Amino acid sequence: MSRYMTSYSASDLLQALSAKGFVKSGDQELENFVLAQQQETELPLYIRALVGVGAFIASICMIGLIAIGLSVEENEDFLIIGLAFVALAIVLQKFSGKGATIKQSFMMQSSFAFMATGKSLFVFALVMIFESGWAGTLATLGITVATYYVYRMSVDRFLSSFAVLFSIHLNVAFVEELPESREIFFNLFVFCEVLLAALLTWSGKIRRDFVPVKYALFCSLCVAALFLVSRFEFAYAMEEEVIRPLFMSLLFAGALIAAIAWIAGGPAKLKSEALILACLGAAALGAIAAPGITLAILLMVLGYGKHEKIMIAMGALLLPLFLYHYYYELDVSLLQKSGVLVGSGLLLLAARFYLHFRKLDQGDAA
Amino acid sequence: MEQTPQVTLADIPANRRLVDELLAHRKIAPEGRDYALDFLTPADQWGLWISRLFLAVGSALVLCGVVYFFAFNWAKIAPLVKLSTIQGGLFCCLLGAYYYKLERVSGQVLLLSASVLTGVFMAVYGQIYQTGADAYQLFMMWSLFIFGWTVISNFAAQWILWLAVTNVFLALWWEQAALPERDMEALIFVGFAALNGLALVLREVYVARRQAAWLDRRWVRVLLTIAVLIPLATPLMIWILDDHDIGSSLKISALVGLVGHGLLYGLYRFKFRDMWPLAAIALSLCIILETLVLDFLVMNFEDTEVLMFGLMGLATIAIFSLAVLYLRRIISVMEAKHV
Repeated sequence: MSRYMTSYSASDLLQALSAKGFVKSGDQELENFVLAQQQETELPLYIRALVGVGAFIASICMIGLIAIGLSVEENEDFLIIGLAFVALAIVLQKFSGKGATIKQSFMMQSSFAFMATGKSLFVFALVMIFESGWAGTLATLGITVATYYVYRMSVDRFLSSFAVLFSIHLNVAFVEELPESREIFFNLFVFCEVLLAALLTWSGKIRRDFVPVKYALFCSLCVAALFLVSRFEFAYAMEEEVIRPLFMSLLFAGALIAAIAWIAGGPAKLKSEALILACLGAAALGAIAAPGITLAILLMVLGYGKHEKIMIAMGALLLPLFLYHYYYELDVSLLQKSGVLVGSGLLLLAARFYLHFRKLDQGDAA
Repeated sequence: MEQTPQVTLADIPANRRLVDELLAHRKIAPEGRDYALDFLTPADQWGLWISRLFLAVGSALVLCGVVYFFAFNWAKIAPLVKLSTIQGGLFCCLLGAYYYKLERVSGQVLLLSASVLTGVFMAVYGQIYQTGADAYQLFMMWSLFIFGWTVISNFAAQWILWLAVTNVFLALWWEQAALPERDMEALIFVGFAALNGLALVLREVYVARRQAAWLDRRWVRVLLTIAVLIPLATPLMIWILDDHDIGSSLKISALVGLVGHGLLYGLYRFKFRDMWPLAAIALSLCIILETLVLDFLVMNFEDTEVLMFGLMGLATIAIFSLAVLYLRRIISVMEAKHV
């Protein structure tokens, strides 16, 4: 779907704006501002993925080495070793230098592996000392906040932020102290995540340093939706504790409508026929209580509107997964499920032909 | 992970975030923002995108529903009704594809639907008449029947469907009909690599000759590269891990695996110059090397686990560092576009 996006550079955009008189042509201050926003060039995604895989395997080996080789018996020792590894990772990164050299590459890879090992040991130690899952959450949060600006590696920022959110999910879903209020806590947490994700997506004033947190939040919301549809596989609770998906479904539908309004240029623009239809569709999705499907569509719409291919890919990959789960979980026979599937499909196709009939899809020959 | 910036305005992608930043820092007025957003994502592009999304998801849902319906195998429906319903659907899809023409997405999606319905028809046929045929025959006939449509489809998704069906046929045929001797079992990896490799080579040739612009999507290249790399790497890893019971077919497959990695590297390093397939090849080689080191350490340091973990960690860092270093060095040479 991303191939239907336009592909312009900042240079093209500034030229278009100056041609219409919105900015001055050749405004050096403006150009410097745009360049300053892009302070550091990230390595390509495939290299970051390769670094991540290597660090993951290496950190498992290191944890094995420490667990077996150092004969550590006290949890406090794990804590100290973990912090030492984190410190070592930061030092290695500081002294790794710049440029694609053997030294830099080896030190960066080692640094990330040490950081992953150190953080894992630190969190493990605190969980064992306090014998509480919440201690793990607080430990993950603490070490993430402490290293966020010191250790400037986007893969680490993303993974650490995601680990914090994931541990909260685990605690809310599995901790035994929450039998009565589990649903309230779960929904409250998801609500907070949506608010924070909206702020990071919407605000232009928030620094790019927080982009990894935004992606972590969206991934965490996917986990929440997946968790709800897979409750029997996770077996998080007894039957009477089941968390109903309606709140999350309505929340995501509201977020989808807000996203449509935001991308269209404000709530005032929602009066057009096409956008009214889109909002009605979003509301219908909310009513059928399928939060995963709504979230997948939300990701694709935001990705397309913000020109972020990763979000489109996330949505496109999650959509079939959530569709499968939704129909798998429906408590009706296979025959009725097939009827629901065909009916929903025909509805979408009808909407598509309506768009075509009203000539609202005039990009090229559809 | 950061790099020294050598960035110009032309290197920075224009997106919504940049527009929002310009507005937030009062570099442009709200009217300027509206213009910039319309410049980046024109309204008609939105309509087209939503329309395609509806078409893709709607068709997928209808086809899933049809598959579910016939999987239910409702006894109340007479066999003739079942078969003629599918045939009717198939005929309508083909008629629709003819009407909309294969240059348009609507026509292509309808042809894809007809291809899926062909498989459904054959499954239901086997269900009704209990032909006793092996499963590989269903996939073989399915693959043969839709091959002609695939050739004329000009649609990447249709080719991927055909390739998936043919891969399943190959696997089932090897297991149910070819019945290879234990010594020959591993040759299936060569078969998979050859089939998917041929598809990849054809894709590259036709795109290079500008005869198939519809195949010129990076995801097709990456998907096919991964589909080739998996059967190339698997026999190498089996050989490394299972060194006392190696048949000649495994040796041949492993050799093909090595040569195949080399050929793929040459193809994307020098001929077509693309970093994504090169990264996939690098990852595959890293995993093979990791397996080799792990096997060596397990064999020689079984009693000293501490040393084994330590050396494995060091080796992992070294292997991946070299892979990352190599990729970073060739980025500038290949002038690959970053994500």
